[in-house]
Amino acid sequence: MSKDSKALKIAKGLLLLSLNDEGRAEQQRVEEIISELRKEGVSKSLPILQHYLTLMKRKINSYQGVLETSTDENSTLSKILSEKLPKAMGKKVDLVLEKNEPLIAGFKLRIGDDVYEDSLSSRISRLKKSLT
Amino acid sequence: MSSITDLIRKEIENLSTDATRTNVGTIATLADGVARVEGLSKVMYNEMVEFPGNVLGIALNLEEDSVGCVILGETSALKEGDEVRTTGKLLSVPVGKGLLGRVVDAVGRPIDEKGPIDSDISYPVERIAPGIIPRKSVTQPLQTGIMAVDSMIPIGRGQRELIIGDRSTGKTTIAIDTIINQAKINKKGEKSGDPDFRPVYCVYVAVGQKNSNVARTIKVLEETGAMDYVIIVSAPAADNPANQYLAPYAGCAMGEWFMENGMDALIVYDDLSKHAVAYRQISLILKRPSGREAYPGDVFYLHSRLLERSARLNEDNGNGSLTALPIIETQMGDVSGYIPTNVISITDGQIFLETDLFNKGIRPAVSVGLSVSRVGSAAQIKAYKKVAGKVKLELAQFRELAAFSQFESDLDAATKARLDRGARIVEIFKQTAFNPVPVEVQTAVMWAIQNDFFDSIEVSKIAEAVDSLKEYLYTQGAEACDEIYTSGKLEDGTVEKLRSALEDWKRTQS
Repeated sequence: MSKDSKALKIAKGLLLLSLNDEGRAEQQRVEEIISELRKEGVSKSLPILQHYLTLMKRKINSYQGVLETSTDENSTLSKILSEKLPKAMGKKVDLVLEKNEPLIAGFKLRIGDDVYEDSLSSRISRLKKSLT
Repeated sequence: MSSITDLIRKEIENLSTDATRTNVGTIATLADGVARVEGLSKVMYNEMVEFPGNVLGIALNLEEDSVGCVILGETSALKEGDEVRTTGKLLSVPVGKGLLGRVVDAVGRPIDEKGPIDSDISYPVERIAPGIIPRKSVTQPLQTGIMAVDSMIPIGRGQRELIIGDRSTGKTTIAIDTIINQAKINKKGEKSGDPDFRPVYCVYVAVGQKNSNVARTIKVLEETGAMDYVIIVSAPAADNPANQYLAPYAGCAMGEWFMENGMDALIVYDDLSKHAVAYRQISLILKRPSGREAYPGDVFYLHSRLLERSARLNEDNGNGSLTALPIIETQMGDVSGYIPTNVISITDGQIFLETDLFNKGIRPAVSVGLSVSRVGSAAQIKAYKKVAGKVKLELAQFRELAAFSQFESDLDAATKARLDRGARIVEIFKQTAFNPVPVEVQTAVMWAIQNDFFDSIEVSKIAEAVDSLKEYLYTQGAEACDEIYTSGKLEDGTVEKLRSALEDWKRTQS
């Protein structure tokens, strides 16, 4: 087994240790893991930490949705989505709200690798593509 | 003005207003036209993905944590962290008669500055080859116009015949001659108004070639008037390896359209050695395990799945065909290399070209001993079959005897006669490039050999005599030749006319 795949295997194990019963990452557990890794020295801990970061990002993205809108006024939309998403996704999704002015109007929701978009900018780009 | 606004309004109305769902990822690494993308958890194998700036790519490696994508365009504007989106589509190319006379790149975009391609149909580049049931055995000839090939190594419609040899031995010339001959036959057939006539459309795929070579090929095809029946797919050496890898599949999809619509097509892959090298490059960058000569384990499948798509379909499936002429370049005449042996085993025969013969001036430099067509005389018209049956044996015996006779001072009469005849056949088979000979003229010349019309001519003057005979057959012997062309047979009446024409010609020689 190569050094890198060994580091990946350890990182996967650490990720499992970082999750609580609901399958979500817990800050206290992550802090404990990092402090333990510090003791191992840079050369050993760095590749593990890099894989750990990638896996952790992916894990958080799977239950955390980023809702982008062009204005700060998005309380109605976020309320509707918070109600409907658990039913549609089959799991609880935490919504993080972000402002993205280039959308012009509408919204963009990213959960994991999936992006749901109904914005004016996406419609314009689709129109542009179909005309060229 | 109003028509323009109507057009845009209609386009807007047609646009879906629902929210779109796409699967995305981000570029983790980017090198040599290959990107490793993190995310894209729902991407399909061979699916087209979209990079920023409308640059397309294909997902080739689906791994646990990342996806390996080859990029089919300019990569200089891409960078680590850029978003990559799935498209839900497989890579497709335009197909149809609108492509005839055009030069396109590996994804079917025109590169000949003749405007957009007139086609509204597209086929995916990767398709499953026809199975056993829709196929039919190869029986209809595909004339190359090269006497040495049509007489000894006949090719049928739907066959896969490999052209193999070292560099500069005339491999491409054989393929181009065949294309030119198809154009000549097509023009003659269309002019005759025969409702049963089936033209052969051609696709020439240039992989890893120099742009100057491709330009020269296009010029030859244009000068000979063959371009109207040809599609050229070009992925030159300067193109990225992904395009070189895809070009043969794209060309094959264009050829398949003709086959599946009841027409006959010919495809030339020039050449599959460079195609394998491009695939090796992609595979190594994708970090796939390498095997013999650093090629990946699926390099056999790379060519087998491509060449299996050439077939002759039965009447229930339109009776179309796709004939393939793949080209392989050998190193120092070694046919036992990895890629040559792979392709030899996939194809239905090979035309082997020898450097020694080429340097001796025997062109086309076809090696009689190593060349073979597994379809054989089933792909010859009856008249040709009758006159060409013994030639391969006679020529093979000549090569063997010629080698031994170097050590003999005193030869018996029978051996001397065989050597004389063999030397004459070699001379008769010499043919200049881009000058294919119609099958009826070939038949008449072969009949002349079998009936000793060349025996009294000095070997050094045979080439000249053959040229004068061909000229004579085009004019005074045209009646006999026309009969061979229309009936495909050598009937007694035709033989008499041919004999009389040849005797007249013989008198002009003395």
